[in-house]
Amino acid sequence: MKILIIEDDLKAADNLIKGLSDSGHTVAHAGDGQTGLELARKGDFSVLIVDRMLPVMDGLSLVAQLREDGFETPVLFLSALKKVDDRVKGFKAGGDDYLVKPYAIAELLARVEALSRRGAAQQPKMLLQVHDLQIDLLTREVVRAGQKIDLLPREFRLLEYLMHNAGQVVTRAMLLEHVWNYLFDPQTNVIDVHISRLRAKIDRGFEHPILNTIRGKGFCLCEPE
Amino acid sequence: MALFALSVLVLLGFLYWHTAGFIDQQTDKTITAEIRGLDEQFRRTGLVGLIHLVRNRSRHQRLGLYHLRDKDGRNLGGNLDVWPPEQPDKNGWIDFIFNKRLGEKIDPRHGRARLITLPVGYQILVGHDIQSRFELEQRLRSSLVWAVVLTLVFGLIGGLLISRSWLARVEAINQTSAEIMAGDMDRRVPLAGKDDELDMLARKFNAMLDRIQELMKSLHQVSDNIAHDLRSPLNRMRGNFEVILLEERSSQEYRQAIEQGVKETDELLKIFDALLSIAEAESGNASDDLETIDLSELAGEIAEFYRPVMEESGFEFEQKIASGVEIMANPQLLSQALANLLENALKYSSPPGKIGIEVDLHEGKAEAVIYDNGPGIPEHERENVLKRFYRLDHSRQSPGNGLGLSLVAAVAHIHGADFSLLDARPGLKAVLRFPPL
Repeated sequence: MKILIIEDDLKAADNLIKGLSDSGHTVAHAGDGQTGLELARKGDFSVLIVDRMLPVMDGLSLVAQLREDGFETPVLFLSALKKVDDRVKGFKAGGDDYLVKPYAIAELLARVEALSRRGAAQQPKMLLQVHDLQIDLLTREVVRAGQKIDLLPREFRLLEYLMHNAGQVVTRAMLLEHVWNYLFDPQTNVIDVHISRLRAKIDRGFEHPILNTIRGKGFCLCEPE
Repeated sequence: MALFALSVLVLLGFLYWHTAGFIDQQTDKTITAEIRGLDEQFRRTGLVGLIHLVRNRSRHQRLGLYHLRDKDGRNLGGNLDVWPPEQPDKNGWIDFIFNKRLGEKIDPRHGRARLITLPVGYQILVGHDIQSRFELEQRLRSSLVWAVVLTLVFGLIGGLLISRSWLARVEAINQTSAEIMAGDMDRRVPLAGKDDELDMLARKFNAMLDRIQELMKSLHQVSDNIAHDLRSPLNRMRGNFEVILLEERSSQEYRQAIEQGVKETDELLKIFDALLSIAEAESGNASDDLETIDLSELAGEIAEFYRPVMEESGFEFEQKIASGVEIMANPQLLSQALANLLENALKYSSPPGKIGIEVDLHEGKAEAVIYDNGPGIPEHERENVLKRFYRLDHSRQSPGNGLGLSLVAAVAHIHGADFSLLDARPGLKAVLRFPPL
């Protein structure tokens, strides 16, 4: 996909461009807010990666301006500011996700993927399906191969998030943020245990496992090969 | 000063006006009463009776003054020899000076009288010797003037002395500040021992200096520790890379070395992250973000978050959370603090022990308690473990960076909460006690 990086730290930008290009994306780069805004208006980008602190025009104003002009391209903010307050400002300006520096490239890739999908899914669906697993967001019913599965509320939210991002890598930080609303980094394998409990319910006893662990990256709920 | 002088003047002026006015009134009343008596006599016994009475009274009354005269101004009786030349006011009152003969001496005295004109054209002057009253008033006036003068003089001198001693003390504070700014952090403002506002200010000032010094010391210690604790992993990394570069390796080996390097930098970044969170919490800025939250709900969620990993690890996880306990909190930081405590319990105690989380109200104060049945922390170490990078000997082998409890302490600080580590007999009992809403 086509991605625009607006970042004034050239070393960081180089690294990002390399990481994204290696993963098969087409990348454009702007070194200041004004150039970034012009590029974003002209180009047809799937995702914008915007640093919050930029020369000429800061990231928040840039995104706010874009939104005002009617552009709905998903925006991932990069920032060294990690306070809850700073994140809220990012979302208020029209950002869709917020990643605190320093970050792992794998984390950034997963989030960019998730954002591009979000842009594509126009209609919010009430019925989600991956392979033979189906969940109904209204009745909160989970059925796999015709078999009803009972989930705890939090397990349901975890599965719901994975279903929304089916087919792509979801990192532990993404799960923490979206399923539990926690911004800290647990030092124990607590997320993995939640995943394995969910896996025991939706995968155990079925022929093809669909909830996979991607080593060094995260998890993926995907169609069996 | 002007205000002080003005109030003294107003006060004394009022005193004079009130006292003098009172004496004046008394005199006038006496005169009026006497006139009433004479009038009665005149009506009953006519002019003859009046003359008789006037003459009689003139002889016996010590202070009374009388003068009765006919149409032509002839003196018909009374002890006032000369008709005063002063003009009466519209009510007939006259203030005059008359001469009193005391043997050989002639004594000029003040008198006050009222002129009454009788129907037959006769005039009578009924009055009082007010010399003593006049003198009293005079003395009163002069003493009041003196009072004003003395009050102002003493007030001025006293005020000057006081303000000079205050100025000297303010100057002492000034001096101390200058010395501290010059780098001598051990200086403190001297106390006058008077327990007044300035002493209170000085005490606050000194307490503030103590706190700053304490913070500086801990900052100093922290930077020492950071330098020390970050050097070893960096050295280790550097060594690994160096060894790899010593000779040609397979790409598999390079890959492993780089992966190892990434892992170790991640650990370092985590340390920085934790340090930043602690610094942020300790600086107290975050206290602006406190909001009313349901501690029961927050603790319940964190308990549910950790329950699976506790159970999978073989612990008995107990949860006793009273509902609806509200506090002022920063939910993200507080969640992280509780998470740190639960993860410590998980790390440092071994299954099949108990780990528990409790929320309750004690004497109006909300309490969050996390306990385990692990080895606990010896009493003399409980202060130390709150320091950054401090690790107990037996925990050095387990993963961690010695920052978890420091963060909890910092988070407790911005919540105004007490953080105490107690003995769970056996194990550790960590208690966060929040101030009432």
